[in-house]
Amino acid sequence: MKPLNRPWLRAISTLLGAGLLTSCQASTPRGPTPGATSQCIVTDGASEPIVTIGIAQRIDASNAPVPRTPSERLVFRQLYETLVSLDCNGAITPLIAENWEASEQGAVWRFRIREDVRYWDGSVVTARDIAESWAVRSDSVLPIAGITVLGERELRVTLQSAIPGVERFADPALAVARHMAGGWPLGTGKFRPEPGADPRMFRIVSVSPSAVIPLNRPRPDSMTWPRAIVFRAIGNDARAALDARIDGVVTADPAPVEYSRALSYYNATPLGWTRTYVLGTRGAQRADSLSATPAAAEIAPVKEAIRADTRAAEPPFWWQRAECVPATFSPVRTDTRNRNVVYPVNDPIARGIAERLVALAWPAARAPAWLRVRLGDYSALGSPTAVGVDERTLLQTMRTGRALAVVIALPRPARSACINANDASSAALLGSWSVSPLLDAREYLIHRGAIGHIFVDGDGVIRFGAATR
Amino acid sequence: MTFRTRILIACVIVALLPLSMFALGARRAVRSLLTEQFRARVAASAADIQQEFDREANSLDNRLDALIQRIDADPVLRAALLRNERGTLLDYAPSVMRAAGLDYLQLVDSAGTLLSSGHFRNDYDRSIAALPALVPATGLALVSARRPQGGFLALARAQSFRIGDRAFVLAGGTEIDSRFVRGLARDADTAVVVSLSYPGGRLASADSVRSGAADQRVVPFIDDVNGEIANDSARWSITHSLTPLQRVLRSMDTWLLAAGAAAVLLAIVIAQVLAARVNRPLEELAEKTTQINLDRLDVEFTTDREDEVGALSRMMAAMIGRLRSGAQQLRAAERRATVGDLARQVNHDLRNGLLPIRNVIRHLSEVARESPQELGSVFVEREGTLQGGIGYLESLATNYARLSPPADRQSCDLNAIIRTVLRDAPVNERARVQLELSPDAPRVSADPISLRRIIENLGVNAIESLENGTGVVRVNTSVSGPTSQRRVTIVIADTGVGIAPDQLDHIFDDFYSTKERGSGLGLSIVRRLVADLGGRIQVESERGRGTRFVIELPGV
Repeated sequence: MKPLNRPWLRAISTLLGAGLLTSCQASTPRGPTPGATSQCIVTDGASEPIVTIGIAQRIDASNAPVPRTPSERLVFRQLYETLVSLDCNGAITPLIAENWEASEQGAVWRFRIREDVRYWDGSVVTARDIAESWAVRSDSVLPIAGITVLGERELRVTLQSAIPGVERFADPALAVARHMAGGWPLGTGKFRPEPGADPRMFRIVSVSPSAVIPLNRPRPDSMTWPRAIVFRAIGNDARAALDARIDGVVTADPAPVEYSRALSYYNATPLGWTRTYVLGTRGAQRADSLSATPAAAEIAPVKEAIRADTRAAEPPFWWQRAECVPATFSPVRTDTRNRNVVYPVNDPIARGIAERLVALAWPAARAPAWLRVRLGDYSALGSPTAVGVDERTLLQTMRTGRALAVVIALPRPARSACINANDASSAALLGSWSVSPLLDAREYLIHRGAIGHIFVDGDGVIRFGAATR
Repeated sequence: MTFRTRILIACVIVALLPLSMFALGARRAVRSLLTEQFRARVAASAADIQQEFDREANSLDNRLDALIQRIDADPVLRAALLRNERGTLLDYAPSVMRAAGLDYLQLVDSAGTLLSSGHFRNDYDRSIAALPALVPATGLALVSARRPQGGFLALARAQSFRIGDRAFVLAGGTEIDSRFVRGLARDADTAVVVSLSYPGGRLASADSVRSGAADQRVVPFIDDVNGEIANDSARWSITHSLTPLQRVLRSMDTWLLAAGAAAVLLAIVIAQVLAARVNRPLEELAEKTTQINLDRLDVEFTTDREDEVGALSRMMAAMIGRLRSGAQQLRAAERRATVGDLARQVNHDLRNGLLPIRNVIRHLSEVARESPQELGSVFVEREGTLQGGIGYLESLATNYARLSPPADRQSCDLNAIIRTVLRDAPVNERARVQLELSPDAPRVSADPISLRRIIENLGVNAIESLENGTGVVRVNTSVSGPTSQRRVTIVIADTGVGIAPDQLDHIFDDFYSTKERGSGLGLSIVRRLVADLGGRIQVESERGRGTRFVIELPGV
């Protein structure tokens, strides 16, 4: 099944998305929007009892439930849930919350919790659980001023500033979990972790009644998601995993996508333009670059060098909305001697962009005008260099300004909601750097036929099982 | 400059001069020898490095040939080159570079436009016009290239090939850095320093040193980063550090300095010994010479030395002999002159004394002749004048009697004479005579009357010099010298008014007196008496502080 890989299907999808976007913008924040998730379904067949999915990085339990890497984002999405979710078309779907109501122009939110929400151990999820779950996270993506537990199933969240829609509560950083000493936090998702001895393999098993089927029985036609999912670390090149007939891989690398097309038993399905790669440069004020997105023709010399499915970044961008960015802009202190263009080392697209920008930037006299303007006066420093760093160093770099420029991916959720999966990095970037959108990128799910019901969330992450509870 | 200093300087020069000449000669010989060795090592290293470069150039040519053959055999890549299919071309060089053992790989078209880069995949579509120009060159070229993470240097070769009607150039190379350059220097102990200077930088196997010998090789330089044909060339320099030479010279200098210091020390010791041997008799001669004066001509210069000092001593002894003879003649002449003066003075004084007597006698004769009855009264009237004249003559006689020469000599107890004389000294209650007499009971061969007169004169003078009769007169005796040459010293010092400097030169002159009623003969007599006893007298005086007479007499 390759519904979104054909131009005519892509056009229909775009039209449907535009229609939904229009309807969503007209809605008021008073309750759940009827989910129209059929366009977000990637596969919808009966599943094998056990499905193996390839991931690039290993999973670190200490990060749960807030993901730090793309692989953790994929795995944690199966384990933990938020109050509401956003599907690929921007439709709000209730998850833990049954309904909600905003007051004071979106500065105060009142949620009612579903009665049937349970942790994996069967205990009921209460409003107090949610308050405590958020309280332990220091880097909240929302300016929460206070949480008031109004009852067993009701809570009120007071924000320091108003937000326009409830979609901010769909941010994975606000997933609900009960922290357990020395183990995985208890979640409410359809799967729970079942750690094994092999550090390269991470197994999760279904807790949903619809999938409680003994593994030794023949597969019933009604089983829509697997009994267990094994995530196997396969590194950055998925082609070897495809040769080993892995059940599914999510990748942005066109090489395995092309490779899979030569293999009759694999389908490659695009997951939507879920990330925008931006260039962060040292500007005096935020407006320096927000209003000056490079033209597609200017971006072309960058795009053609990237080994991924990309396009010139297309507005709207959520970070150009005032409510989505830090209220004050504090330009980074200028380290005039630094000529590094820094990127997250585990992101090959960011690396390709950074390296291409470095190639274009020197000799400075022949660099493209748009790039020269953004990088400032660097000609005396010599040729810029591309430096890959881990996420912690990247964050530090963005906070201290010790770089000529930064290339990172910002999430591009449906409806351009202020969902910020890469919260700390985004905040550091948007609070102090001038941002120039360069390329939109999307991933592909390469999968075998019998992999079950899979749909795409608003931030492009796939999820096994039903879209709603 | 003293004689000792001159000997010292001479010894040091004698010690250091040959040593310095030896040092200069040795340094020159060592420098020449080592420099020759350095040249040989530099030449050998340069030949080794050239061989290494030739091998590397051949190896690179072989690898580029193999890559070109594979391109030729790959229809997809051939098509991509002809159609300029960017996706395929961008991945080509990165995919084959490491497998070919290269660190630098650039595929450019005939115009130098970069199509694919092995070390920097996303660097393309820019001009490196220098690369096609490198093809016909022999040997290696130095390329300044860059990766995304920064610049690097490579030794590279280039090969051209054709696909269809289009020409391409494949340039490949291996990275070099300081470690590579250090490897070229091979043995660090030989102190051969290999350095590579290129526009914008320098690599060297060791820190910059002063070089003794050098060899330079020029290689083409391509600035791949800026895509320009460099006008400058890179230069390999093989130099030999001067450190080993400097080390040897430093060692030599250290030993020479030690030898020089030892020589100087030895010279100082020798100079001291020589100076002592030469100076001591001279210093003794000088010491004796300082004792000579007209009153002290008893200094002996006898010696048995046969050298120049002995000759000088004998000459001094002869001179003393002549001085003694001259002094005796002088004293005799002086005595004769003194006697003449005295005779004239006596004549004058007698005439003066006799004149009133003659006048009285003449007056008495006239009275006796003309008025004999008045003779008695006139005599009574003029008797005073007669008595005065007679008294004057007696006084003169007494004074002149004091000038008479001493009688025969005998061994006298000086302390006893001093005590006897000063016991009856005219001292009032405000003056004090303090005797500090030597317990050695000094004895002097002299006429006791002369000794008594000496002590009496000086003692009375000292008491009379005390201002208002108040003060102290100290008399001190002492004995010095060996038994055979024993000398007795008498010091008579007072705290009186002192003598003015202009008077001090004349106090021993006859008839010179600073007293109102003095005869001016006291000190003159003392000087003669002391000289007659073979002694000498000295005087020191300070106005207001007192006077100190020192008399030195030969002891018994």
